[in-house]
Amino acid sequence: MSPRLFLFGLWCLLLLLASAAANYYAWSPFADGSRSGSSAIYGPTHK
Amino acid sequence: MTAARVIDCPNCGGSIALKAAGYSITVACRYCGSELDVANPDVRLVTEYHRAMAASDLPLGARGTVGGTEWEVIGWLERSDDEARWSEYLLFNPYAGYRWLIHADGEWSLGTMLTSEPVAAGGDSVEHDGHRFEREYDPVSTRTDAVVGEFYWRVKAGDVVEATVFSNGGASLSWERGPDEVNWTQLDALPGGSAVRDAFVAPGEPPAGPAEAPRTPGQFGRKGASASRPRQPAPELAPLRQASDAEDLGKLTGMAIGTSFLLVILGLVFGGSGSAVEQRLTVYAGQPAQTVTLATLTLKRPYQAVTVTARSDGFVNKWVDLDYSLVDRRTQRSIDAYGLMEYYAGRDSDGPWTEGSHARTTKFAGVPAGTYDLMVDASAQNWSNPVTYGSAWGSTPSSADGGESEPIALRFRVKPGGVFVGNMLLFVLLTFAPIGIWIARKLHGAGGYRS
Repeated sequence: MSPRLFLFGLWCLLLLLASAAANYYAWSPFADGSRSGSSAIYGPTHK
Repeated sequence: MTAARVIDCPNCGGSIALKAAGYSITVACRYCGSELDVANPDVRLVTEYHRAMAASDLPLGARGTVGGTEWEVIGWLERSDDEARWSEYLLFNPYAGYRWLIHADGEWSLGTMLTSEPVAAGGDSVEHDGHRFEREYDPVSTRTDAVVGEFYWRVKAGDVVEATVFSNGGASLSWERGPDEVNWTQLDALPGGSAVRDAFVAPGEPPAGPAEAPRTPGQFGRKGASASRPRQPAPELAPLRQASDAEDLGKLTGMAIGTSFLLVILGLVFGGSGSAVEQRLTVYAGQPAQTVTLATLTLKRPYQAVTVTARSDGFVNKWVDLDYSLVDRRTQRSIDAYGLMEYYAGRDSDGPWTEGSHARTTKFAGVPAGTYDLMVDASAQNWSNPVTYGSAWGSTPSSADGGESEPIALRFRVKPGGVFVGNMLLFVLLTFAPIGIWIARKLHGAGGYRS
């Protein structure tokens, strides 16, 4: 196995561990928790 | 291992450290470039060195690119058995280590020393890295006839080892057993014939390719070749480099796909949820907010998500503010979240348009175990700004804009757990990012020393 493949394997393993931790703690930067409605923008925005 | 030794260059007086003192025949002074005979200062020995190297296709210090890596020839062995004679060049790169370049009967191959020993697979076969190799012939005595250069182990002319080759039709494994150890080397054939020899440029020869910017002295760590003469891989060897990169790219992509699959599985497994609770609520546009308890949830896992999906039917040009509070019954601590459901429609010079949705999913993340009351503070408002909207964009709100007290029926579905698709996409993106960066660097030719 070349160093390139080895390092990429480590990277994949790191991501899997990070993902497992994020899933265990139910963490997500995309969650809606703590968002406030006071900053919401109302009305159509497509134009 | 050999002992280090420091000598003084008789030409310029500079101090030179020999890494393989006692076995290095020549060394180039890093200060003045003089080639010194470090085995014996006698001129006769230099002549013998040149005589020995006359049988070699590649002089010491020659540099060339094979398999995408630039190598320097630091050692040469001439070896033979009862039937054949061949050359083995020891290649060195400070970042990639050592390789063997074997030249026999006009054919070239690249040898990589194996760090793990293949395992016996029954009969005359071995298995390595998932591939099975069959022995081609019984071990024969192989003799080292000439030794020139630096080596990382003790070697001298007259050394004899037992050797054979295992093959699987494509790659080969060389097996050698000496008095003290067994060595395995993977051999990969190099197509191109004389192109391999031409890929290596000896010190003093003009570079094969177009001129490049001078390389910083000392970048390669050895003085054998001039630092101001960078090498280009021979055109005939370009496919070798591309083939190696393509092979690695295939493996990297396979690993990335496998990792992505596992990432999705992880997300789905951890996102598994309990039973859902449904609740209904009716709000009126322009009226004060209504607060109700949607559900009582008992969360048993240490941490989990909570998903709330709100749906409605056909309201137009209104928005509904949904302020959720997940209140821990034990601590009265509240976790808040916000959801906005909005739907607009109208007509302008391009024709009718709509925007928004009658459904909104809101997710809580990292909710600790406990019993919670989920409450919602819901209010609806009409969107109405015909003057500004009409003058600015030339359109008008739809006729459904009225109805200050029009009821909006909301249906809520509360579910412990939740799958964060954004997390999955983020991790998958990070998985493929190194491959994308690598490809981009290849396309833009920004490879540095090792592209």
